[in-house]
Amino acid sequence: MKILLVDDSKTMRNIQKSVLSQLGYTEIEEACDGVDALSKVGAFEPELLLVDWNMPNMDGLTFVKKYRQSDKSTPIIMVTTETERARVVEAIKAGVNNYVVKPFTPDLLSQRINETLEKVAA
Amino acid sequence: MSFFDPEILQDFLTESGELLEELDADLVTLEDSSDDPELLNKVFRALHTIKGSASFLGMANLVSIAHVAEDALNGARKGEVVIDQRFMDAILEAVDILKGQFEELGRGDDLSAPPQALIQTLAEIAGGGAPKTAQEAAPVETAIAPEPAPAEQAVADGGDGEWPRRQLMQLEAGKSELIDFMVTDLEESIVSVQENLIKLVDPTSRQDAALELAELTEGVSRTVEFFEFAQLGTLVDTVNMVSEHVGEMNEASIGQTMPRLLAIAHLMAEQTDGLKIGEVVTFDVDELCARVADVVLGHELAEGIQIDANAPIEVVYAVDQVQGMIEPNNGAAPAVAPACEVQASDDATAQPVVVADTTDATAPITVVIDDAPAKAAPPPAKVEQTIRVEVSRLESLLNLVGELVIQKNRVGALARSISSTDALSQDLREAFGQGSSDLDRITGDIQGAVMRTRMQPLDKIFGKYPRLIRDLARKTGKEMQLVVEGGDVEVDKSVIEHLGDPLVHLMRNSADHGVESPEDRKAAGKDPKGTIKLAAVHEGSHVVIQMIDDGAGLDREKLTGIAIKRGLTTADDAAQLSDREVYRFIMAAGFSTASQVSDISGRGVGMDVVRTNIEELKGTIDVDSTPGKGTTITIKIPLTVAIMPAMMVGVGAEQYAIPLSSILEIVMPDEEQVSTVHGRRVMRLRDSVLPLVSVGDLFDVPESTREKGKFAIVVELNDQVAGLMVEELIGQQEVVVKPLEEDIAGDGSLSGATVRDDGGVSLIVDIGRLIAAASENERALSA
Amino acid sequence: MSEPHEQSPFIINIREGGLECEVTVRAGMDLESTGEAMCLGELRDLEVEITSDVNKRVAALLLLHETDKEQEHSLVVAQGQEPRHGKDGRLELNPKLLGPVDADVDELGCNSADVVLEHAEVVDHHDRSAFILVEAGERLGTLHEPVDGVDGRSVKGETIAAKVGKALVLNTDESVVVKACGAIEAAMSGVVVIDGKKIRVLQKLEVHGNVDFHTGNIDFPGDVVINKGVKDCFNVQASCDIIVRGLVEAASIHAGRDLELLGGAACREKGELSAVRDIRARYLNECDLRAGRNLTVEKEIINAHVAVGADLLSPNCTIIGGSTFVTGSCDIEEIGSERNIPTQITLGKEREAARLTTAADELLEMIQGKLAKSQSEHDQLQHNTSKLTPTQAETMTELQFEIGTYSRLEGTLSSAVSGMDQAVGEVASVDLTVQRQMWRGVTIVLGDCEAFIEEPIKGPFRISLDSHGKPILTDLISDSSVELSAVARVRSRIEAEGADEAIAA
Repeated sequence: MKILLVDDSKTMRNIQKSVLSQLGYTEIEEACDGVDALSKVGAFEPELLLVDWNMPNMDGLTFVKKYRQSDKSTPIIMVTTETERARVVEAIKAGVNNYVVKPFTPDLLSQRINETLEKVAA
Repeated sequence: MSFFDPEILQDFLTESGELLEELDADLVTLEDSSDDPELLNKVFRALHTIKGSASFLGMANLVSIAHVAEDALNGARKGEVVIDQRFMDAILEAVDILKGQFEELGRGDDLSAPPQALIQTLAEIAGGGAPKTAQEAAPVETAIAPEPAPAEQAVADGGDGEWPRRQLMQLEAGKSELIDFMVTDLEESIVSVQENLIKLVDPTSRQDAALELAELTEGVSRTVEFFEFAQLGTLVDTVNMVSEHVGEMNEASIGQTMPRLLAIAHLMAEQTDGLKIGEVVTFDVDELCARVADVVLGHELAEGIQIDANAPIEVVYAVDQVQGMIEPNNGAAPAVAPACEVQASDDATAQPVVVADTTDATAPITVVIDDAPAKAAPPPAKVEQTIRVEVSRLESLLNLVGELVIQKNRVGALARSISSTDALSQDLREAFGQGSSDLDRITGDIQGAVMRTRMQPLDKIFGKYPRLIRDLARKTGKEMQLVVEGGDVEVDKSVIEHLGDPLVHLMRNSADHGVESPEDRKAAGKDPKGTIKLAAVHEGSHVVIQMIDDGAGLDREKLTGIAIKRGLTTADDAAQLSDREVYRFIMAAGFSTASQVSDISGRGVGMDVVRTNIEELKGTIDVDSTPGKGTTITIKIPLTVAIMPAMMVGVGAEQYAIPLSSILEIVMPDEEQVSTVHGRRVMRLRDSVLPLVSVGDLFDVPESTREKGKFAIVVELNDQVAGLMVEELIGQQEVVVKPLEEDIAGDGSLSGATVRDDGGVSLIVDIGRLIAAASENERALSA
Repeated sequence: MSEPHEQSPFIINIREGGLECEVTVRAGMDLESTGEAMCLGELRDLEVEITSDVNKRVAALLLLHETDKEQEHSLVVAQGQEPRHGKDGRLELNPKLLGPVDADVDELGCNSADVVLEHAEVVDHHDRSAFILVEAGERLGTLHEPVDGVDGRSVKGETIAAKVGKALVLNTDESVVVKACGAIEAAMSGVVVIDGKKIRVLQKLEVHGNVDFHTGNIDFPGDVVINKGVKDCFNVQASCDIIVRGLVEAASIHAGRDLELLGGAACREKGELSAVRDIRARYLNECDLRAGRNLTVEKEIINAHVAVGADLLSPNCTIIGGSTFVTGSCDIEEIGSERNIPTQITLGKEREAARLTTAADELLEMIQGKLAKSQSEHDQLQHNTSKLTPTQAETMTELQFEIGTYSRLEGTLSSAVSGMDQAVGEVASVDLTVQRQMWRGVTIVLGDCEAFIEEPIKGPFRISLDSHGKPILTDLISDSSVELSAVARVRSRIEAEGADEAIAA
């Protein structure tokens, strides 16, 4: 399973990576913002994306909107904070499949990843 | 049942009758490919439509059986019910009962109640997946039956009590915390959707509205998907589909769609209201959405469904409400209303309601009109509409077209001769030529259109046979499959009517007597599964239908034995008979070889009926068989509507027509290519040597008028090739085939005659018999 | 044989074993219209089947002749159908099984003689196959079904029988599974042995010669028997028992269960020998050895570093030089030598194990500290902040991640430490029996003290701890005990270490 992590914080990406590797996913690519992610999706062809909302250059919502223009189905999990909670519906309308609010525990993240993948597989 | 408007009943019988026919075939396919969701959906939808219409007409006994069958199918659709033998048997039995009820309806009888046992079985099959058990299903029929006007009753209590369904919303934490945002958003979106839907009606604002709708619905669709509100999703997706296809739709279809879309928007709003108070509300929307999808995809919307005719009651209610809502302050609504009444007023010509006895010449038949320029309001639509006309009217139209073709050819000839004289001015000649070629084209179109009215694909009858074979296989305990080829071959309606029964008899015979039991087949080294192949093909002016089984074949000894016993022949005569002549005995009245008479065949009358029916069509039937390998029955039926393209050729003063379909090529052989071997003229053509037949010699055209044949027309039929020597090529023409009287047809090298454009008569060469004769000669010579 | 009345215009040649019939029309023949009938007649006489195709070809040939009578014309007028012979069933081996042998062997049965290592004095299948290790369920190859032939037909209409493909019967035992689809899989992990037409997976690897350059290193999931020795710098590993009949040189050997060194080991202080359970050896010379449980040595342990998880009961063995840790009981004939070679014997809890435990404890403490810190930071953030800023939310996530990671680590580590303590504690005892003599130069470490033997002590005697934890020596003949300090110089190890550190400082 190829997974793309889009987050400006290296620490967050490491945390996500660690959670993913415990779930058995090791094929992971990282991008530090929306622009970087857009340049990587073509070649990497991820099967799941974890996208942070707040990023410099291009935020997560803009990235999702752009990405969804070409790819309608690859599942996206949005990483948000409490401040964006009211806008989560906006993200969902843009094509986000699931979301996780910071702060989250590793357990919650892996639960979200699992339920998202299960839903896609169903 | 007298309170029905006979026209509505007739429409119902036609529409649902066709659906039932398809159902039968689809179900048999489904049995083999139970994992095909498309097919399952189609079957489900068909049954659902029948049920819907029947419930509108208050046919309780029909609804009750259709309902449980639909439930079972719905279970299968959701994967809750396994499609197994029991399932298929029950569903097929239900379809049979529906068919019986249709017959009763056609006769004007009251509907008989379906067997409770079957209802019980189907309800059990539907099991947990279906909301009802048989006990609960029963009250439904009594609930509807005594109500003369179900529509009113339904409006009064908001449907038959099933819809809408309300359930408590259950969401996991991550979703429930967002639901308020979602509802607010949804409310805003639905208002925009409604606004844009109204804008959609106006062609000037349509494009912008469609774009906006597409974006709106896409977003809502994702939100809904996230929250897993399935039905809301279906509704949104339906609107989304319309928004993406509205550009390709015509005004009539948009007119048909719009009230339904407004109803959808209304239902969405209702559901949103439900969500606000924590309830998931579900309506019966499958049909509504399916109708919209049908219109959008350019499918034929069942004839004359007014928006409120067959739609589920609560949708009618919703539509009325929505229209009432927007009418006072919006000019768009009136534009909607007339558009939905596209029902053909031509229906006045429809025949009084009598269900077709197939032999009845006045039986209504369905005419498909591809193009309807006459109708001003709806521009050419992909939606096909049907009207009914008497067959006798078509008949006379057909004759007139035949005349028209002849006249057209005369005008064509006239135009050719005019163009080569100086008698008229250049302009006049050109104008005449132009007019002539226009006439040619238009005549061609008319001819095609009229011919198509009488022609029907053989699938119409072939489609029933897979079910027949399946049932026969189940009854006889044999394994069989039916392979159908050439179902798209179109034949005259009368042929369809006359062929149906004979083919059933033949198929039963093959299944019962021909195909052996799986054990016997295995022992004989064959695939335990027997194959019966039904193939149809055009052969010149004939349609050839072959039924080939790979069974045991016919036993000459046994046949002659029985024929002698039955007094059909004597032992002495029998010895003289060829195999084929012996095989023909099976067609004689009172002949049966099955040692035991089963309920499938073997009563000895069937084959006689076959022969009689086919002779009535002026067709021939031939039996060929190889012991141990199988039996082939060949039915050859002349096309009654015989306008065919032909090559006109000249020999001496005579002209002959050669069917274009059998011509491979035309060559002018060199002297070197032609030689005489054993007194036979042969021609070398590339790598092969083929016999040459002089058309002049064949038809005894006086030598004095003839030159030497220059052209060799290479014809092929049944893989046999021959060259026809002619002197002159006149050109390609469409000729109207007139049958010849027996005595003129003579040795059989002619298949008919045609009236030429100059008024003369030309004979049409029968290539099949000609080649046969040529090879007969060959054999005679080499012997 | 009737004599020919006149020469036939046709030369008919049936060849290719009846698969082809060629007719030649002689030049200059005037055949008129009878030619075809004549030709067909002659063909019929020769029993050639006259089909419509033959008819056509004859007609064509005659047509050819008509066009140019002065030439001789030939034409193949009839062609039979060649039989398609069936193929025998065959075994296609997984390329891996062909191993280092680059012979083009892909089928068993025909070339099995090639499935042999070329050099080495012992040309034996075992040598070669020893290196084809497979795991249970691994695909060994495919058994191909025989293919039926299709009979041919001669121009005379006779059937030419096609060869029937014969099925290959795979000779094997329960170690190999043949699936319905023809796939052959190993039923167990082990070494594949292909012997003639027999293919098996053995769980015991037998190396007939030495483990050397011919065999390479061995890592085997099962038992290994080495009939000769193990040469310098080779490694042998097995998940079960290892038996080495010859000498072990400076090699490494690790057994998942028991290790038997029947020829002894002389490792020249290189390599490592270990077994999870017992080790039996003839002698150990300059070895580094660890036995998870018991060690038995027949002759002597010389200049070796030996750690024994349980008992070292070898009453005929002499230990000279090196260091020996024995957790459980120890029974030895002689310790040290006349030349006063320094020889250390450690009894009871192995010191290294104790050190490890301490280190683990320290690590555990550190982790617990970090865990507490993260937890308190986390709690503080949670209690004191009503609404988190995005940065705080991120920090919070990090903290939660740290807490998760640390508590998982803490769990694993503490269970490992206690497991280790428990395992050592169960067998740890001070119990040394010397049958004959213990020489000067021997140091015995027991509990918290060490005893330096300055005068030889005659056996048989036993050193153990009394009820107060004091080391005592018991004469096994008189059964009288004295304090060990009476016969040796005994000092506390804690003092000694303090002294060592002082020197180091």
